Amino acid sequence: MSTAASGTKTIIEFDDKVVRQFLVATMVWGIVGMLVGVIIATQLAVWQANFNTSFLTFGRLRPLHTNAVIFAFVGNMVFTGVYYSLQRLCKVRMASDFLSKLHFWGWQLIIVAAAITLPLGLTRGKEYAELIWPINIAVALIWVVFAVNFFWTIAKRNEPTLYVGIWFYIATVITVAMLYIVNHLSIPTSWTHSYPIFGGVQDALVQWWYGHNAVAFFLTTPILGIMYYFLPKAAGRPVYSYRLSIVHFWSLVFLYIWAGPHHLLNTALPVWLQSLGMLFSLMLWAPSWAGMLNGLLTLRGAWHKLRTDPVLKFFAAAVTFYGMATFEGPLMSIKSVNALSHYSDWTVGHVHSGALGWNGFMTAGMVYWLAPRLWNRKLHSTQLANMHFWLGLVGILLYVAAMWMSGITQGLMLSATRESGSILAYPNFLDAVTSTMFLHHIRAGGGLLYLAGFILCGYNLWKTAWGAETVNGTMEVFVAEKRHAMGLGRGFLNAPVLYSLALVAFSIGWAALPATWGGLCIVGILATVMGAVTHKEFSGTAWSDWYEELLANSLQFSLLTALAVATGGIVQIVPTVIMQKAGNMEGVRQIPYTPLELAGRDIYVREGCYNCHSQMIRTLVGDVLRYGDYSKLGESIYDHPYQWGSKRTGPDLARLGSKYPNVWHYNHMLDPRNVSIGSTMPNYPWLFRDKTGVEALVSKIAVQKKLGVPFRETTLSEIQESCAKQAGVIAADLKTAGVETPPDREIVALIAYLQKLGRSEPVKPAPSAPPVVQR
Amino acid sequence: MFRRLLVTDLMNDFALITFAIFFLIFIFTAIWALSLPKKRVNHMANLPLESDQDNDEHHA
Repeated sequence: MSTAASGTKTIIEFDDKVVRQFLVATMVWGIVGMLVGVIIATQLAVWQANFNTSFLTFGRLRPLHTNAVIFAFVGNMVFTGVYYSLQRLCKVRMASDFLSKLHFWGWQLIIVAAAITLPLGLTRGKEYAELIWPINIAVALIWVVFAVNFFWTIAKRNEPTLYVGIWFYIATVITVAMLYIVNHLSIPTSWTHSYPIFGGVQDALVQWWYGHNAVAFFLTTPILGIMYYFLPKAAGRPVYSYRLSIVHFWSLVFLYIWAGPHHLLNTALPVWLQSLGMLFSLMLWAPSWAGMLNGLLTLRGAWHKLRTDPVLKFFAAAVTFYGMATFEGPLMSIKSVNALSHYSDWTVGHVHSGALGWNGFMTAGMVYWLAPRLWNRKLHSTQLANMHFWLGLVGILLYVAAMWMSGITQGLMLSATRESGSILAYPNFLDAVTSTMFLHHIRAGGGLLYLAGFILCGYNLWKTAWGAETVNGTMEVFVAEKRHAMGLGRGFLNAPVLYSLALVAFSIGWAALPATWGGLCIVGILATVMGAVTHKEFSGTAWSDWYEELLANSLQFSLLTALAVATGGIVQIVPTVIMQKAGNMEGVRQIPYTPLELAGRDIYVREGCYNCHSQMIRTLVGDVLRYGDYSKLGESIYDHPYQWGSKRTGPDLARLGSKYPNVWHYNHMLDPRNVSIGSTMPNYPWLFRDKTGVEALVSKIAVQKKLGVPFRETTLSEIQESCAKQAGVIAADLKTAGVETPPDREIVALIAYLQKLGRSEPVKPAPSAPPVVQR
Repeated sequence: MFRRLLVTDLMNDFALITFAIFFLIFIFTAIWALSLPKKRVNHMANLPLESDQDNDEHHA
């Protein structure tokens, strides 16, 4: 062990209480999140499991499941691993016990708030970003509390070197904060409702920049940090190649941030962004597999222990699933593969091989390793832990195999054509639903087995911990008297950083500026490269010394990482935000909503319809034949939030307006099987009871206008008059079709919105407006 | 502004540009990682294996 040149020896006690608390929270919320998962999987197989109640419908429970698993289960698991390993790798107790406590209880309160608000239909309507704005602010504040405690601990450390696992944690802390804040920028209309400041394509791009990187920096990088700490611990040997782990970290962090647009392939998103997303995703395969191989090879010479040690069994399987999911992801990012896989169950299977296999099994391995150490007692039953492993493994395999088969069947059936590609082979969407129904039963069964495994795990840990004496770890460390600090200036004002910044600036200039300036930027790029080489040659300094120093100075390291990550986001998002505005649209532009249609749209968002229905017709033959002309950017430009969706459990709704009469929608929402035999959609009886909240439209329309959406009506009386008029027409039409309903009911507003879908008008670009490609 | 991104066929060159950037970063990182002194690498690799005072072994 290396020590500081001069210093004193002392014994420190780690704060393991917070680790125990996070571990218990991981298990409790994990079981809750998985239970909700099993319920919604059952609802897709047996529609009656929606129970005709608003708060138990699939559209409201699915966000609860995803948020619970991502932020409550994996979130608490990450904090467990970080608080345990950070203290030991830095050889110091957490900087502030108070901040640790505040972090723990704040995070649990946020989870409780989410569990209450989501079933009530209080949502922002964006996947994995559904929580309402007051909870968003709480999340940001608690994350800052965690970050302060985290970096303060690193600053106080007694080990000069930062282990690679901590680099992964740093990338997580910084990037998650940035992603979360940008994707949650909203203007409130009330204490429980807001509209995102981005709309249409801008919102889609920001959402998937966030959504993809939530997977990258919340579900992957912190778990890799945990893998690099706990796997060597469990195997009793250092990581296979520390050098490879360095290459793994930098190439992974550099690539991940660019890959978001692969969620929007073949859509109305500009083609250059689709190409960028696809290529970076393909390259991600290399660093991901470097990490997987490094993890698996760490077990070299310890494979025999897998027979008896459940911890290693879980870790080995988890790393294997990581390899499988990170092979499958790039594969699905290839545009032609994505044409088949997107909007289908294949994506669900892919996500779950990552969530159940990688995240879930890493959690299990970690808690089985930690519990005996945190409660100072042998694990209650190794046999039960082994049983958990096999139940979980069989559960995942059933789940993933069912979703693969179901997804590929759906993709093939829905895109199949005959008569030389002029007619759909399966014109009825429900054919794809009914023919994959048995696979949904198998999926629900697989999920149930996986949940059973975690219930066994919870019981095993409870028996281990119950009545045991808790113990906090201690370590004898050398406390350095003084450590060389780099200084903020030296972190930034030095040759490697300045030359890199110049290269990035010239490259962006070349891509973004007109041709003459672009040419100058190429000269700038060449001059920078030559300048850097000459400078290095003549100065005789080793730039790697600066880098070594940087690794020991976490503030500078973190700020430079933040800068690198932000550059990726800016390059992708800024051109779209500046150019793709309503005024710049060519071809067609959405006809703005009336107040009643806006109220209907908010009901659509509240019920989580986007969980099963897309509003984006892709540039693919199957899509165009089934749903009409492909969607243009201008057709959703006023949509705050955008509702392009990511899954088609039901058909696309982008051009639903005027397709069916009002009474069809009325009967369909009452019981979808009235008009679509074999449908698995829930009934929505409460829409026929509850009244439309017209008063709330005043502040909602004021915010929409602020965001650039044109509305004629502004005062309450104008809005009421407009709503009453439009609702009266719909109610009268329903009456002539033999159905009587008061015009102030939510169903009328929803029908108004559904009949508006796909309505647009042709526009001519202003003479001064720059040309925009619509591909 | 953004003419190259939005109007021209810059995306045709993306494959090459993105690969070149990634490859350069990969090469630089790999060279740096390979040039690290063996003693330092071993020290870093063994950081997780340093146990609490209360030895881990009897829990296994």
